[in-house]
Amino acid sequence: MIMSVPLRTPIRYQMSVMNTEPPKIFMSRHPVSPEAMPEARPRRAGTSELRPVPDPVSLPVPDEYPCLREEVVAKLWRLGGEKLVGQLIELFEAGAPGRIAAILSAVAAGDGPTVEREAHALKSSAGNLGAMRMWALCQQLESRASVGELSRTAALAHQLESEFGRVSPRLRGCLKGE
Amino acid sequence: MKRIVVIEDNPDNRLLVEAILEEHYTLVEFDNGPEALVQMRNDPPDLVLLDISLPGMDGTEVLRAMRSDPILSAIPTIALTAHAMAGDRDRFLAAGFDDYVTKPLVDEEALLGAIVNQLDREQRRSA
Repeated sequence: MIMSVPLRTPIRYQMSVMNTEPPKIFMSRHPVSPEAMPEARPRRAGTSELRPVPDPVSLPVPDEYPCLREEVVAKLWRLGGEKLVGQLIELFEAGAPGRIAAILSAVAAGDGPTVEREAHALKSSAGNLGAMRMWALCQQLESRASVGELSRTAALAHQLESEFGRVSPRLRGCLKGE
Repeated sequence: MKRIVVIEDNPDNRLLVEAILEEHYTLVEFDNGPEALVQMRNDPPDLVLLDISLPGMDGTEVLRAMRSDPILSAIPTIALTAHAMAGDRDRFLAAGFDDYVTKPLVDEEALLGAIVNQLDREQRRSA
């Protein structure tokens, strides 16, 4: 069992305060209509029955996403204040370099399952903080690795590394109120 | 206060769940399925939030173990997942989850809403 440390009294965020509409993926529990998407391909053997095989055509294009969606950080700030934002950034900065290194090594070794697993975990951490371009890069890496298509993943992994270098100081800047 | 078990291996996701729910529910957290199953049999919760991509025993297997256990089988279980592809909802429900919430957990209302719905449904069922 993990000991839960109370953070603070949560402040429920106000959507009405948001100036910019977040992407659809943040707006709904069921963001993509099955009818609107191409039929999923057969699953790779050995993967969970709940892991869909995506169509790369429908994957997010990283360059179309902002490096940092600051309103996500603002929402987190309203939810848990500086303490929550600081803890999330600390966890992200502590974990991301290791995961990126693991992705780079796995890409070089042609190890799709490791790329898929590490990109999946990093995608979640990046998305929590609004690091949207990293989120999209991880989604691309995870999806391509899940179907064993590693041909473009080296470029994506290096882009991911550069993107972490860009978003990390901006996140720290949010903490300093920059 | 209703008691919710959270089974999630990523510490940042657990942190966010705490931030969203701790004011409303008593949370008990685990980073793996086997330990959660043992503890839940001793002290069944009112609801479970279950990550799909757990290392080792994944969320689907944890759910399967719960559904085949007379003590745990009826506990409402919501999938926490970063998979937001076509047909996911149907797949999760067909697998036996009562609902699912996508990560990142930025949409606080989606998580709270799903939990309230399931707890209300459970209350009506047992009334």
